Amino acid sequence: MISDFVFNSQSVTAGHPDRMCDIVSDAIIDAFLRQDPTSRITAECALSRNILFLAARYASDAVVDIPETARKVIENIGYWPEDFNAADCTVVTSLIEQQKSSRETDFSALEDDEIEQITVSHQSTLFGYACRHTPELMPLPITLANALARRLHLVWDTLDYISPDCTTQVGVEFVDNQPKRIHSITLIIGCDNPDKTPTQMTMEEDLRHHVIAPVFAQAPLQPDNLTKIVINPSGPFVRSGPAAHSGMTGRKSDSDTYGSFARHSGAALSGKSPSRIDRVGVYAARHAAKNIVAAGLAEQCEVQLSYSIGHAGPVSVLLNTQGTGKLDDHEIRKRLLRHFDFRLGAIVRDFNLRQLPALHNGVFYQRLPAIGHFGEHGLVLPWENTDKAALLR
Amino acid sequence: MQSATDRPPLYLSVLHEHVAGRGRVKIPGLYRNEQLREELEAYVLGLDDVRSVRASTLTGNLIIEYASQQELENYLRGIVRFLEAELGQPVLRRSEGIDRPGKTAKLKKPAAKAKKEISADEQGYQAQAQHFWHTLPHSRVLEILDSAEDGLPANAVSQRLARFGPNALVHYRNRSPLQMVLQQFASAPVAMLGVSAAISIATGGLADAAVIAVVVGINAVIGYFTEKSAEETISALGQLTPDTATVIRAGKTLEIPLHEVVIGDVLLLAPGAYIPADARLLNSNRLSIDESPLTGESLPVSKNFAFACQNETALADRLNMVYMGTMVTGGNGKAVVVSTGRYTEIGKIQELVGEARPPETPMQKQIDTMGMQLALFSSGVCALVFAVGLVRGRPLLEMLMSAISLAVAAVPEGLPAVATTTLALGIKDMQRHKVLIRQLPAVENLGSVQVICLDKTGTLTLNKMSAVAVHGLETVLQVRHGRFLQGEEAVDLYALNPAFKRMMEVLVLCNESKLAEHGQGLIGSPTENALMQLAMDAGEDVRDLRGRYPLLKTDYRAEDRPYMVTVHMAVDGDYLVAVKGSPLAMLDLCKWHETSDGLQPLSDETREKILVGNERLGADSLRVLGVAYRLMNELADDSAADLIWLGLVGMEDMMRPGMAELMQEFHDAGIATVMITGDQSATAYSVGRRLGLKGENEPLEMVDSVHLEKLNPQVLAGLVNTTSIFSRVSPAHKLRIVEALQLNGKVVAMTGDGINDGPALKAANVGVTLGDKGSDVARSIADVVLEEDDLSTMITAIRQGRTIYDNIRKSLHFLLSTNLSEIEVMLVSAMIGGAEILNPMQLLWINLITDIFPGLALALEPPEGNVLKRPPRDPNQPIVSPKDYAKLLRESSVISAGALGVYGYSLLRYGMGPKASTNAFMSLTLGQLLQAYSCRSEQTSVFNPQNRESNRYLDNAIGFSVLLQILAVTVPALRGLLRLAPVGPVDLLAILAGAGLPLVVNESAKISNKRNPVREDAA
Repeated sequence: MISDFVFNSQSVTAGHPDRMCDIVSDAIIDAFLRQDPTSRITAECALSRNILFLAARYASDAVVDIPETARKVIENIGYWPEDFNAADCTVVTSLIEQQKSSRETDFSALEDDEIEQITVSHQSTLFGYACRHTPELMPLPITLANALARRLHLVWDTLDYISPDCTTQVGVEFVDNQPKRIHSITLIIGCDNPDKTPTQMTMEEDLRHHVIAPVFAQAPLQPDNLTKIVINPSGPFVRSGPAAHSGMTGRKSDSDTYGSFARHSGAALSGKSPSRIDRVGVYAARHAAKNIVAAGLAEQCEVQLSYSIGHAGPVSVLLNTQGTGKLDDHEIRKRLLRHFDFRLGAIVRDFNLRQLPALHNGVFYQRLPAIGHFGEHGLVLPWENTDKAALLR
Repeated sequence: MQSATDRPPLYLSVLHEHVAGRGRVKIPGLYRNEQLREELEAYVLGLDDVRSVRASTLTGNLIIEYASQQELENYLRGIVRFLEAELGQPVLRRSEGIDRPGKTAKLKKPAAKAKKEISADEQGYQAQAQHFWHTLPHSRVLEILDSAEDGLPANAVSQRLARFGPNALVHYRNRSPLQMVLQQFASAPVAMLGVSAAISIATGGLADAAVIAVVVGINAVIGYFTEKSAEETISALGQLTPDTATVIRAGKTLEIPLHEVVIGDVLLLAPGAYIPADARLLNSNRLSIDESPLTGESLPVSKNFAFACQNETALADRLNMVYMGTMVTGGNGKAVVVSTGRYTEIGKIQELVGEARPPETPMQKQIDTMGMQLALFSSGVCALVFAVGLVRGRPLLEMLMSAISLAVAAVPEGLPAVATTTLALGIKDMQRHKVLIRQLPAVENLGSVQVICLDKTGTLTLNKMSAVAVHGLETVLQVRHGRFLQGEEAVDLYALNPAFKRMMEVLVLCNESKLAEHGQGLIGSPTENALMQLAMDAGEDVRDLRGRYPLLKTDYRAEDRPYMVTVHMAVDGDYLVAVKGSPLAMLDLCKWHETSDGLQPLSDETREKILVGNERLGADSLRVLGVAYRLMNELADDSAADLIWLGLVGMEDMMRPGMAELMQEFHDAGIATVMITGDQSATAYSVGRRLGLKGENEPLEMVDSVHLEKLNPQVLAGLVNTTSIFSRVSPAHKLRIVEALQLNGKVVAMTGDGINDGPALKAANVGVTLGDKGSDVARSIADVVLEEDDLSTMITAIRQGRTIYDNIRKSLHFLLSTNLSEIEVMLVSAMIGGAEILNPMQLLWINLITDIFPGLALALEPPEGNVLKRPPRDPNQPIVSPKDYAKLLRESSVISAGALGVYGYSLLRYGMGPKASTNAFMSLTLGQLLQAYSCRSEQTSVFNPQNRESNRYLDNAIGFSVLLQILAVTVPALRGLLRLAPVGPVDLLAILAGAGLPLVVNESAKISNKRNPVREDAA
C-alpha cells in the first residue's frame, strides 16, 4: 500500500456562486425554522448572470418572503454591483406548499416508541469521518483550505480589491500516512474593484501577509522554503462571481465534508430541513466517528450509515478504522450501536436540530456552508461534541 | 403637402457666405421691385458694422460686406424681419426647410388628392401651409405662426377657426344605402344569374328570367339588411378619445373642445393628455409620448423641445414634435399647434387609407380567401358538369343554363356576410353584458385567449387598505369584516387583554384621518383610514377620545424617523406620547411592554418574538406597523424614548369578492392566469396563493424583479411560460411580459388602467380596461372595456368570443356541406346522363331557401355547455382545417346519397321524368335543412342534446323554409315554375327517408367520433 503521497483539497469562499447558492438555500431553512421549528423545507437554488432561480417545497406554518431572504444573503456577500446586484437581479421562484406529515412535529420530547414511528423519506448511504490530523479531528488538507477561504472572506475589508469569490487549495505531503509538510498553497483571487486592480506584487505580498501567515500560525504544519505558493497564476480575474460563472446548490459537497480525503455521499447538505436524513445522517455519522477517535479507539475512523425508506433507523451501520483501531472494528461497532441512536427522530432530538435557528436569532444553518459543516469555527455544532467519547471507552 | 397659401410663400436663401465679411443672399420679392431695393439697402446700411450693401432688382440678390468679426446670420435675422414687415407675410429661410411646390408633386400623387381638393373647396377652408416645422427652432415657429408662449389672443382664435376650419379628422364614411344595395348586385353570382337570365330570355323562357330576377331581388334585400345592421354595429366601434384639450390662450389655461383647437394654439402637455393636433414643442420636461397610434412603436418615445431635426428626419424620430392622436405617458411640456384636422400626420394617413370600411379581421380575410377558392372550385366543377353534359349529348344552351345555375347555387356567396353578421351580433350581445368591444379583431382574439395577465391592484383587489391582523404579545388576532377572530372564533378584543385597549387608543390619537363632517366615511390616507377603522370596529369613540387627549405636537415620519409621534395632554396633567411606525425602528426605542399583568421589561426573548411576528406578518400582508406609547410627567424634547410596546397591526389591500372562483373558471377554460404587481414578492405570493393562480400541488412560480429590462428577452420568454406571478414589476415592464408571452406563441389578454399601461394594452392581443377606473389613455387603447368595473365579466367576454367563433364555424359547416351536396348531385346527374336530376329553377330555389335563413340562424346559436370547459382554440389553426374538409365531404356525400337514393327509387318506379326529379329535389332540400340541426354542435348530437338549449331562430328558419318547400309542391303556380310533379304518399315516405336517414348517419358518425380519442373539435 502506498503510504507516501501528496493530497490536495480545495475550497471556495462565500461569494463563489455554488457556495452562495448553498448559503441562500440554508438561509431559507433558517427563516422557516425560526418561525416554525416543525417546518419541512427543501430549497434549491441556481444562479446565473443577474438571475437567481429558487425552487422550494415546504410544509410550514411560517410565512417567509423567500425572494427577499435570498436578496439579503446576496447583499451581505457584497459583490460589486457590476458582478451581481442584489436589488436589481431577477429572482425566479417556484414554490410548492405541502401538507405536514408525522415527521413535522416537535421532536424534543418524543418517547422512544414515537421515534420508532418516524421513518426516513429518502434512501441514502452516508459517511462520517474523523482522524487525528487536527485538534478538531478533521483531515488536514481540507481544514487548511477552508481556513484560507474563511480568512479571505475576513480580510475582505482590509484588502478592498478582493472579490467575495475566491478559491483556495492546499496540498499536504503525507509520509507513512501522516501529514509531514505543506506541499503547495494555491489562491485564486477575484480582483474586481473597478477602481483599482492591484499589481501582482502587491497582491502576493498582501495575501502572504494577511491570509496565509495568520492561517498557518495556528496550523499543525507550516509552509517551508520548498512550499509552492501560487497566487493567481493567470493574472487577476477582473470578472468574478455570478457575472463570470454560474452556481448551484450542492455542488461543493467535497469541501463541505472532508475535502475528498474520506468518502462522502453525493447528496447536498444545504437546503434541507432536519427531516431529511441525507443531511442529518451525515452529521450523526460524523458525530459517531469523531467520538470513536476522541475516545482513543482508533487513529481514524469512517462510519457508514445506510438508510432505506420506511425504516426509522439505518438498515446498516458499518465502520472502518483502516487498521488503526485499538480494538477490533466489530467491538467498536458494538459499542457504537450501544451508545448511539441513529434513528432520524433521535438525531433531530439529540442535536436539537429544529430549534437551532431560533436559538441563534435565525442565523444558523446559513453559516455552515461558509464556515464548514464540521470543525469548530465560532459556532458550537452539536455533532462536533465529543460528549459520548467516555461512554465508548 | 399643400404649400399653396393665398399668396406664394417667400424664401430667403444664402447663396454665398464662405468668405468672412461678405455674403450673397437671395431676397424674395426684390426682383423688379425698385422701392424694396432702396428701402432694403437703407435698412441694411443702418445695421452695425456693415461696410457696404448692393441689392440688384435684376437678379433679386443682395451682396453685403461687413466687419469680419460679425456673423452673416445676425444680419439675416434682421433682414427677414424687415422683409416680413415690408411684404406683410412670413419669409422663410431656405435653410429652415420648406416643403416646396416642386417637391410635393410626387407626394400629391395618391388618389385621395383630387377628392381632398374638392372638399377643401367645398368646405371653403384655407389649406394649411406645411412647413418642415421640425427643422425650425421653436421661437421661429411661434413667429411664423404669429403666436406666443402664452397662447393666441382671443380674437385670433375665431378668425383662425373660420379660416382653417375645425380640428376634425375625416371620419370613416359609411357606405350610403344606395351604394350598399348596388353592391348586392355587383357580385359574381349575380352576374352569372344575369347571364343565366339572358340565356333564358334568348331561349324564350321569360318566366325563368322572372324567377331569376326575383331570386336576385330577395338575395339583395336580405343581404342589404343584414349588412346594414352589421355595418352600423361595427362602425360604432372605435373612437373613445377624449373630447377636450387643455390649451393656453391669452395667458389663461383653458379646457376647450378638441375641434376648436387652431393653428398657433399652445397646448399644455401633462401625463394622460391626448394630443389634439400636430404641434412643435416649446418646452419639455422628461416628456414621453406613446406614439403607437401613429408609428406602431409600442414603447413610449422621449421628446425634447431642444432637439434639432433635419428635413429628412423620419416621423418617428422628430423628437421636438408631438402628433395628433398620440398620448402623453410621462413628464410635461408645452407645444404650439402647427397643423390641425386633416393636415395633421394622422389626418394624412387617414385620407390615404380613407376608405369607408374598417379593416377586416384575420378571420374575415381567411373566410374571404376561402370563399374565393371555393368559388373557383365550384366553377371548376360546374365546368366539368357542363363538359360531361355536352359529351353526353345534351343541348348546349340547356347545359349552359344548368351549369350556370349550379354555379350560382354552389358558390358560397354568403360566406363573408355570415362572418360579418355574426361578429356584429356578438358585439351587440356583449354590450348587453356590459362588455364594450372597441376593436373588431378583439372578438375573435377573445375566443382564443390562452393567457390572461391581471393587474393586482385595482383589478384583483379593491385598492383599499384594511387591517387584517392584530398581534399582541400574548394573542394573535385576525380581523375580518370588522370582527376580531382568534382562530375561527370571534372574540371581544378588550376582554382579552387591556393592552389592546391602549393600542386602539394610540391608533386613533396618532392618526391624521378625520371623520367626515356629514355621514359616514373617513378622510385621510388609506393606511391611516384603515387603522382608524380598526379602532372604531374595536369600539373606540374617535371624537370623545380626541377630546379627552388634546393634541399638542406631531412629529411626522421622516427620512431618519420611520415612525410618527404625537404628544397629547392626558387627564391628570400627564402627557401621553403615541407612536406608530416601522416595527424594527420602534422596537429599538422600546424598553417595556404592556401585558395583562401590567408593565414588564422588554427581554431579548420578547424582542425576538416580536421580530418573528413582524417577519411573519410582513411576509403575509402589505404593510405592518408597530404601536407603542408612554406617559410623561413633563414635556421633553426627545419624547420617543423608553416606549412601551403594544403590538403590531398588519394591513392589506382587500381582494375583490369572487376572484378565486373566477381564476378557477379561467383555468377550467384552459386559460392560464398571470398576476402582475408592484408589491413585494411575499405579499404577491400570499395573494397569488389565495387566488389559486395555479392548481393545487402545482408549483406557483414567481418572478421577482425591479429590472425586467435587464433580463435577456429570450430568458424572459423561457420563464414566462410557467410563471404565474410577477412581483415588483413597474407598469412599463408589462410590455416585456406581454412580448415574452407572445414570443412563445401565446394569445395574451392584459388588463390595465393606468397611463403607463398603454403600450402593454396595445401589444396584447386583447387589451382590457376596467370601467370608470381606466385612464383615458387606457380606455382609448384597450380593445375591450369592462363597463361594470368587474373582472368577472371578462369570462363572459371570453365565452361570447368563443361562441362567436364557434357559430361562424357552424354556419360555414352548414353552408359548405349543403352546397357541396348540390354539386355532387349535379355531378352524378351529368355523369349518368339522361334528364337532369335538378333543373336550373330547382337549383335556384335550393339556393334561396336553404342557404340564407338556416345559415344566419346558426350564427345565433346559444353557447354550448362546454364552451368554458375546453381549452382555447389553436390560433394558428385555420377556421376550416383539412380535417374539416374531409368531414364536409363525408357529410355532403351522405346527404347526396340520400337524395340520389330517392332518385334511384323513383327512377325504378316512374322512370326518368319530372316525378323522379321532384322526389330527388324534395329529398335534397329537406336533407339540407335537417343538416342545419346537425351543424348545431360538433359534440352533442340531435339524439343526445345534453341539455342543450334550443335555438328558436333556427327552428323558425327551418319551419319557414319547410313551409316554403311544401308550398312549392302544393301551389300549382310555383309547382309549374319549378316543374315539379305532385308528390304521392309513398313518395312522401321515400322523400322523408331520403332526407332523414342522412341526418341519422351523420349524427351517428359524431357519436362514434366522440368515442374516438382523437378530438374532432381541435380547431
